[in-house]
Amino acid sequence: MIGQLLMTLVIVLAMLLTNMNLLGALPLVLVPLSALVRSRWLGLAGLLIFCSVTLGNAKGLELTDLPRFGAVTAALVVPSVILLELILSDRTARSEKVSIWPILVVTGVTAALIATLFFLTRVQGIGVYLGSDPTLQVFILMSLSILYSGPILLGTGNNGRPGAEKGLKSPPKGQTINKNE
Amino acid sequence: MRVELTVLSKAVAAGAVLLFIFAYLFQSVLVAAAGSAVLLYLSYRRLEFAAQMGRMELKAERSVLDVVVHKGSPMTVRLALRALEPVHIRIKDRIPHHFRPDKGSLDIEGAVAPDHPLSAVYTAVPEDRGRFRFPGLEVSITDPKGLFTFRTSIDPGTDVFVRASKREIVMAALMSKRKRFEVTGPAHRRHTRTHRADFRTVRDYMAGDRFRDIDWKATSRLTKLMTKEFEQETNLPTVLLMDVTLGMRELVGKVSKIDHAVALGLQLAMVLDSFSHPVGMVSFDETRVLEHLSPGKHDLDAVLLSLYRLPNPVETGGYPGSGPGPAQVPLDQGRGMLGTVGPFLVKGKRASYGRLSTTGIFEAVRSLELEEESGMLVVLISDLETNQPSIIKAIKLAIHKKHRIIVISPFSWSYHLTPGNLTEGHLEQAYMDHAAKQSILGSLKAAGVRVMDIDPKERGERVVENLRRMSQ
Repeated sequence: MIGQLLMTLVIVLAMLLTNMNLLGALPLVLVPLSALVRSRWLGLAGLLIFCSVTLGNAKGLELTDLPRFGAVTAALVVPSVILLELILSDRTARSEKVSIWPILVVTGVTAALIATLFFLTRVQGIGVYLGSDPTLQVFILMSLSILYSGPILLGTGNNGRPGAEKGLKSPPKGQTINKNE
Repeated sequence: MRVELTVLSKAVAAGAVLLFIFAYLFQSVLVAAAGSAVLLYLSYRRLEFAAQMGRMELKAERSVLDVVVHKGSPMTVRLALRALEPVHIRIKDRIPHHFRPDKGSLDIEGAVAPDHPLSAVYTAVPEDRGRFRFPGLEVSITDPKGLFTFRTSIDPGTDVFVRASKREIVMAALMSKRKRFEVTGPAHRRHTRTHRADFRTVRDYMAGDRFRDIDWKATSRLTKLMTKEFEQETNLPTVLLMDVTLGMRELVGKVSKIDHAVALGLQLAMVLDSFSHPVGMVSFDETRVLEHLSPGKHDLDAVLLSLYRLPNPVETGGYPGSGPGPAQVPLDQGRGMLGTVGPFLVKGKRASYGRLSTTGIFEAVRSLELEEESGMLVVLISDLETNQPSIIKAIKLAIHKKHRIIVISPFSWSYHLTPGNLTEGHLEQAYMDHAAKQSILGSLKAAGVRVMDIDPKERGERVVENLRRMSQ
């Protein structure tokens, strides 16, 4: 149900952004189809094509106009990410608990990313170029997101969370047989 | 904690990269924002998975369901995993080196939930006796979304004690019923004197029976020699001296002298026990005594378990044959003399011997001197290849204490040579070793020791028969 509502929302927003172009939303059909045939790859491909086509057609957004950029991102990108989560989710694993710590870390990272963007657009030398060159904006956005998410994704530790390995530290000893020897 | 990316997460990351490329080509900041969002989402999943691992409290229990495990017989192993979080687990169980998998798979895969443990049963066949410890489990836990994999190893610490094969035990039990082992002749201890109890039965004559026990009436009636048998005639404490040095344990192909020695020891112990001879055992390696079970103080079960526990065969790089043992230290004349008379002088002060100057066989005989009475039957099962200089000394010391010594000695080359791998070098070396072996056997015979040179096909029956003759 949540997935269908999100899809509807995403399709409406996409149509609004792309001047009522229905063709762009067509790849999204693959998402419910993937749930039917239980293929995550199909859903993933559908969502990726939809995002590329729709977001590519949405013009007029610039990093220098952060409030509008943030609003559109929140309205279109965040539901898409939730949709991605739903595609990847296993039906049996929905009962999992959610920790506060990961949400806090990701919120912090996002806030840091936006703060950096905010800072960059106000630096005298860079701000001028940012306003005039969208390619540079894309490059900066890509660099910052890789810079912030890379250490988390490729890190080997428990990312600072105390006691994350507690669950695997000392498993109990198994039984020993031949007690009658 | 090592978390790896799965194919799916790599595909999602590749999708983000594609979005960035798309954004770069079509100059769309929103597409780049979508790429960033996907990367942030992956970061969130990674953190959430790490947190889930922390809450999981994975518990692995591995138990061997069979109470008694025998070499060559399948044993059943049950593996159960519990976790407080719903995760998808793939386990690769590992069995000890000397085991082979039989039925069931060692790879187990499935979902674990708090109220739904993952369990599996498989069977494995031990190919050697002794104590074994199962290696740890290789566990691979996958994120519920299939994005990350966590690999670890858990050691439930499962021990298993494998006894000799059922066939060997049955053979030994049968032999203990069929074979006879009475002791006659001059005895050096009071208890070994023959005393006649009630008449039991008349049976066929067997080599080594006493002349006076022949039932002449039955013999003339049946025209073959018959022997009268009486209840418990003697009880002669017997000690099995088991050599477990590297030479005995070296394994080439599937044959090792130690396994043959254990099978013979098993049969001898059971035959001796069935005739109420107290049986003990002393095992020794290159430098020290491993275990000492006194005859009379320990029962047959303790001796048998101790036999099963003897060190396993090992695969060695070198070829068999006598070589310098690790404890073979050249002694000068004075120290050699001290080594011989030491036990009589110091009586229990083991510290007077340095670690390097002691040898396993000498320590074993010395431990007999210190803890046992004199006039026992001592059966030494050894290839006589390690610590050769001290073998003669040790045996002379035992003879001095009026023990009857019988040496059962396997020859290395007959265990390892096959017609297919004969070379000139091997034959030459085998001849040299054979000459050296005969020399030491000759010395032992000269000292009054009865020697039995055995080959791999030597069966317990014949060994017991010979032992019966020799022990008179």
